[in-house]
Amino acid sequence: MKSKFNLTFFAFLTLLTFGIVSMGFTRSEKSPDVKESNSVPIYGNWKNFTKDNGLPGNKTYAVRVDGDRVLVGTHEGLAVYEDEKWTTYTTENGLSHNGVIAIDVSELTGDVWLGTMGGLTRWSGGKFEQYTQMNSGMANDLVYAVICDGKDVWVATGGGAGKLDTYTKEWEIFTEQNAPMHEPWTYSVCAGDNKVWIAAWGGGVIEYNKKTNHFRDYVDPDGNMEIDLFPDDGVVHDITTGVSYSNGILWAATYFGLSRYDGRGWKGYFDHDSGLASNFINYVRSVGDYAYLCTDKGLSITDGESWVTYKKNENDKNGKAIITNGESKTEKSFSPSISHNFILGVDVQDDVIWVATSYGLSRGERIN
Amino acid sequence: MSIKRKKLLFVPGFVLVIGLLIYFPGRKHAREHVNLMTAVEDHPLKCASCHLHMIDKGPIASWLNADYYSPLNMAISRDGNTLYVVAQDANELMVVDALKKKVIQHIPVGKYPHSVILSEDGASAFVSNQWADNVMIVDLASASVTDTIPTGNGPSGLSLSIDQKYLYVVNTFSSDLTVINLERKTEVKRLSAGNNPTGIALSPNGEKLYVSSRRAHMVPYGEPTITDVTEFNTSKNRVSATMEIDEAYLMENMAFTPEGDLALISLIRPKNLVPMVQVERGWMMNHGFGVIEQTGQQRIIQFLLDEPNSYYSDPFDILVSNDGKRAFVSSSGVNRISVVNLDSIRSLLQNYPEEELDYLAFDLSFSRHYIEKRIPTGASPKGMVISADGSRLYVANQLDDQVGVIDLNTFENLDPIDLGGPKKLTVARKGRQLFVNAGGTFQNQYSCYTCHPDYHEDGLVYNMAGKDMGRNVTNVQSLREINHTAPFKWNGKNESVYKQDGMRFSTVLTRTEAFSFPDLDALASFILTGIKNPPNLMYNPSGELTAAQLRGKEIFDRTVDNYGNEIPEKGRCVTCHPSPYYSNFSFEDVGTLSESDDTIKFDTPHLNNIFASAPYLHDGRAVTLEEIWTKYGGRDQHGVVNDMTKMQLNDLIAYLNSLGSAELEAKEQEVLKAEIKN
Amino acid sequence: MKLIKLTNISSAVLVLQLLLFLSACSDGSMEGRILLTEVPQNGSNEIGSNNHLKVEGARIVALLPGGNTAVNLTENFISAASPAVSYDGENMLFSAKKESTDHFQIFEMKLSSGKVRQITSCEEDCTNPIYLPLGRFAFIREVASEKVKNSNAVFTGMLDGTNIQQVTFSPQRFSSLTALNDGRILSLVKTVYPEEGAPKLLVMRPDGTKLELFYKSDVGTQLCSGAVETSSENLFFVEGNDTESRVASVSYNLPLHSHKIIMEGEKNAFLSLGSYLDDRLLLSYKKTNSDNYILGELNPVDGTIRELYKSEGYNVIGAVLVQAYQRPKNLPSEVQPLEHAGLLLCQDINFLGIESLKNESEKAQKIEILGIDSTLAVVDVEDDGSFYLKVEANMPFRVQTLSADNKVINGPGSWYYIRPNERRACVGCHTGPEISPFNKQPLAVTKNPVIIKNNSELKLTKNTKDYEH
Repeated sequence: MKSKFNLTFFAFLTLLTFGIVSMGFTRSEKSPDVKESNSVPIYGNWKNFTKDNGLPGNKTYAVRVDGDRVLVGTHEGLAVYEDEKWTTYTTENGLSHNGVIAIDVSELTGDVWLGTMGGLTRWSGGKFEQYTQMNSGMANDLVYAVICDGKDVWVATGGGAGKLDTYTKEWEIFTEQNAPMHEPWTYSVCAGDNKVWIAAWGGGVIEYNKKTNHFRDYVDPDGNMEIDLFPDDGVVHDITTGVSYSNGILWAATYFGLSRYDGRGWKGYFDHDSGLASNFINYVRSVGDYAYLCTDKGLSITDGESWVTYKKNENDKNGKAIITNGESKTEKSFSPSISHNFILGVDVQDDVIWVATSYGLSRGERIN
Repeated sequence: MSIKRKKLLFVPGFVLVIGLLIYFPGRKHAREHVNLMTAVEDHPLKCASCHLHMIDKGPIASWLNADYYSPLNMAISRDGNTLYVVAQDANELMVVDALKKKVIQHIPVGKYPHSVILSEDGASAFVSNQWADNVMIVDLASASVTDTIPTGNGPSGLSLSIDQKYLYVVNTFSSDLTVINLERKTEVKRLSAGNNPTGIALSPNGEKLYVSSRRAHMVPYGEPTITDVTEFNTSKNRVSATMEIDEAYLMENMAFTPEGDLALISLIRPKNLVPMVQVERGWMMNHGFGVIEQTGQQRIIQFLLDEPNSYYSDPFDILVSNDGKRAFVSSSGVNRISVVNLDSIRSLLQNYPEEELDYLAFDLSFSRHYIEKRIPTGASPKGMVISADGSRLYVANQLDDQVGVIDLNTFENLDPIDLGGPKKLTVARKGRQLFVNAGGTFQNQYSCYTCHPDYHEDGLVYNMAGKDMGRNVTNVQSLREINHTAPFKWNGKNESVYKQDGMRFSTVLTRTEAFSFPDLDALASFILTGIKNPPNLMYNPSGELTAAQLRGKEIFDRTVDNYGNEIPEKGRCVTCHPSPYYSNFSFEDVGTLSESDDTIKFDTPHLNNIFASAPYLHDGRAVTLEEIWTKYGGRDQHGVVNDMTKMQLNDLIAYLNSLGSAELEAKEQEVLKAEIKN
Repeated sequence: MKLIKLTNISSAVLVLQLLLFLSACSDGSMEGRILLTEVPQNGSNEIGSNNHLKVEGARIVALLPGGNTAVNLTENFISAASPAVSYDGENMLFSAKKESTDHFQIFEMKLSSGKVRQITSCEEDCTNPIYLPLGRFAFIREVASEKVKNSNAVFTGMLDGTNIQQVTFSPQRFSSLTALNDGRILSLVKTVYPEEGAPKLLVMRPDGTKLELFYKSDVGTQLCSGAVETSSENLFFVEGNDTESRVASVSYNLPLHSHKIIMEGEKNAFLSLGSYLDDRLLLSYKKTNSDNYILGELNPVDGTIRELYKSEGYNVIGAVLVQAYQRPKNLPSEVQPLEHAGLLLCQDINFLGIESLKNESEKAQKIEILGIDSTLAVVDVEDDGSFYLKVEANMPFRVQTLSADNKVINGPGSWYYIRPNERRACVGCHTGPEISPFNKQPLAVTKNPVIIKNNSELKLTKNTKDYEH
């Protein structure tokens, strides 16, 4: 017993030392570029959509802007906003499940891919085509995320991540059996620069190199501790809920904070030390230099340095934007504000933002 | 009489006695054997029927057969003087002088070419090679292939964008559309395009591209038969709409009118959901064409080619006259081209509401309002072209190696163009002619080819009405490479094709006079020797298995489950599905007997090119290979699979998808055996 | 060696003799002659009625080509009629009787030798024979019962007189049979029970299955003869009304929509048609109402008649050319005599054709199966309007549709019967033969069929045999 304790203690010390040293390197060498605070977009002129004005239901899970139309995943089906009119598509039209929780549009083909609570659906030229764990090689029907990567479609499901080659219609699936995952539960997937990243429950971020077909994982050096013991030593927690990649930056969301990885080092962000609305992040989407964070207490937008966080008041329709730049904090009020503070999805195109919340969908226009 | 002479007499006498001793019991045995194999008692005991004409390889097969051209599709030069004919069985593009009616060049192209189109300047031809997964660009001045561009699986129909920058290629087997950038000479994208598409047509303004599917939606038996026409936006090169064509399938080709007011589709209206109890009253198959209105209500309306006592089976090509007043539909099952008066169609569209027109698509007498004439053709008319001056219609008569020539002023046949194929009609070729001809069915309602397009299967499930109506719902089986895979039929009750296509076949299916014995010889010969599997370029192009396929093979061959328990012999894939045909030619209960099935076991199917034969299981209940086990694996009756992970199942299916022609499999087996010996 | 030479010579002589003998036989061939029935003028009041061919003194004569000389082929009979020529042109079927008290029977004559053999031995009159493929023939036999008077039925059998069987079972009267090239039999039929109907051309398979409408005349016009099919895929027949008589045609492909008048004449001017050379027709006609029927050659293209033959004191009827004919298709039969029932399916009783789209009339929910003199059953139809019956074989019945409260929506339709193991289906009750089925599985076939039988002792158990191909 004694020798075992000693060994464990020694290992802990070694890790602690390594952590501190590496933290020092990270801090000194890899701080992100600082942008002007006013470059983080501020959105106003909010307009909200609920069941009362066209949505099939109030619970919205995902939103994606596709040219002149907006695709919204709701609990009651896919709602499409076009020419100021809403159209809803459900299982009766061919959706694999009415709970649409993820949406992506293939840049190559224009096909819409929908992750639902009961399978993956391709919507191409008005036709719905279903992929389920029963009729295809897809790992599991609970599809938390879907992205298009050239001819491949990647999904993160409750039973592993998967890749569909749309040319051969073959699936390749990745679970703890063939990838460095803790368990097959995956929440998110993103792609870029010949790599794919998977947010795996308890497994941190899994990186798949498309050239070598090899995996590597990024886990929290602190394990599953709910506090980030050593700042910026890696992804802030192993339970990752979202990954998004743009302009060379990988953003990893967790229920315990946000991480940013520039290919060399990680940086962590928390509600107590940044403008982040909440550590409980449901979803992240990065567009250009900005990450859009959907949390349980509002929406945050950051470039890694400056923050704009949108929150709705508890008791009325109004709300505010909190602009954080270093230590300085300013606020801007809106009437109305975003529809709800529990945010599940976001997308932007040009100067317009769409926000999916647990009670309605919000549309904002850039005002800065 | 000398001893020598006695000896001379003794020898023939002895031979005679032995001969008689052998002859009578031998003949009795032969009679019993032939009765069993043919299910009739009056077969003339011609051994050659089965033992010569069904030889599918080697010098005897070569001697019996001949190399035909089998023209399928054509293009015509702008001056109307030159035809470019795809000779599918010869892997050639034939250049034909249309005036002198002579073949002037043979340009070798890829394997099993399907279509040809010309560039606007007439300098190049584009040829889709269906069994090579590529398109070739042929420089017509030098008669040589200048570029070969890879496509999706099974390229067929072709179209050029109006600015000639993009070549669109329909991929029949992979059900998508390849978009080729002709400047870069490479595929830039692949767009989904229904199910088993072939037909393609560009609107006259170049904005809209239609692709027609042949197979219907894969749906559980009982749900409506619907097949897609996919619309593409050519400025964005994206799918813009999917049109569902109700009660139709096998939409082989499409065409626009020159003014762009109508798009036309050749189609078949199957009756697979009603019990197959009669042929009268259009009970099995109707044939027609669809119209997609491009203006006004943009309705999709179908019109029949058929008449109450005469059917125009297997419409293939559809073409519009240069003045837009007539459409021509080639019906390969009856060797006829139907002339459709499009002004009558326009008038009907104008005067009838959609609901009534939908009903009239069931009225076998309605064609009297728009069919002007039926022009006889050679054997199996397929692709057609019209000369630029509108005076001549050319039709590829696929099975007599001719191009038919029709005077469009009189709708009369002129002398055809002989492509110079073999003059002898081999037994198998005659069988192919019979196979595609609807003459073997009451009132020409359908041919073998109707349910077995491409000599394969049509993806539908039919109610065969076994002991009662509504019973025995069965999936059409492929006819590719079924030689050596007897017994036949979903329940394996037919020991031979002879029996399968004999008397009972005519009693309950074709309901007309049974094939004569010489015709049955020919038909069986073609079915057993003339139908090849296309190469499995999608999943096994090189013959080398991928890592996943190799893992799948281990599962296929496994004898122990994931828990280390020995799998009973019956529960191993390889027991019932041994290579090279992956069948033990026996029957088995795999736990899929449904209440509507008569109580029987099912034929163990062969698995070569199984990826191309969806849906699966005897009644087509499994839409994909996965569903065989995810939905219908039951309690491990169809192989022990319930211990497997999803990943293992994916590997197993990757392996099944890799299975190709038995001929290749046999070669691999030989190599394997040689290795074991060494 | 000498012996061998001798044998060879003898063989050669024998072969030569045989050839001479055979060529002598061929001299007796009647190819090119016209066979016709001559009915004595004193029986002319019967002409046009059901029995006009059963007149004593009626005879079959052979008309020599190009001449007016006729040879009586049936001298040994008191009455003979309805010649039909075999497909090889060698034999003739006809109906005849030798004595007044005899019933008409079917006979076959070898035309080269005049040798006659009796095929049937009916206890009622057997008439109107036709050849069927592969040694079979069909004819009409009287089957009238006390209840259904004046009805007859089609029978078929082997030419050697074996396997004679009744194939139709409806209370109808068949007159004139034509073997169509497609292998079916076309007949002029009228319903005789419960009331008399207008004659129609019905078509059936030679086993009596799938009896259905082929052609019916417009109201006010009556079909007067059976039909003749020519190689141009047209069928010709005689029709008439109160004032005139016509030769008309329909196309085989589209009989109900291709009616064409070939020529018109006075009332009863035309009687019957037969096929002749080059798609021309043999026509029994009379020049004026007071004349006898004579034989002419009709050119259907221009409607001109050339007189061929007339017979003093006789009406000339039913001419047929002796020549080899293309044999019709030999249709297979699904009838299994050992089965006691057949199956009938209807997709939707409420579907009445295009009218259904326009009218929102009351929907029927039941059908009543009517036998000859009683209701056999009332059956609920499925929600989709379908019904599926297992019906006692060879039993005539009609179907009428009822509302939920048993009000008649559509009265009884045509007579049906189902042959043993026949499987028959229709789209709706009144859609006719031109509407193809909706590609939809009828709900009724997902259940067992409802059993309909007249004979309560009959056990209609499940089919035991698999009749798939």
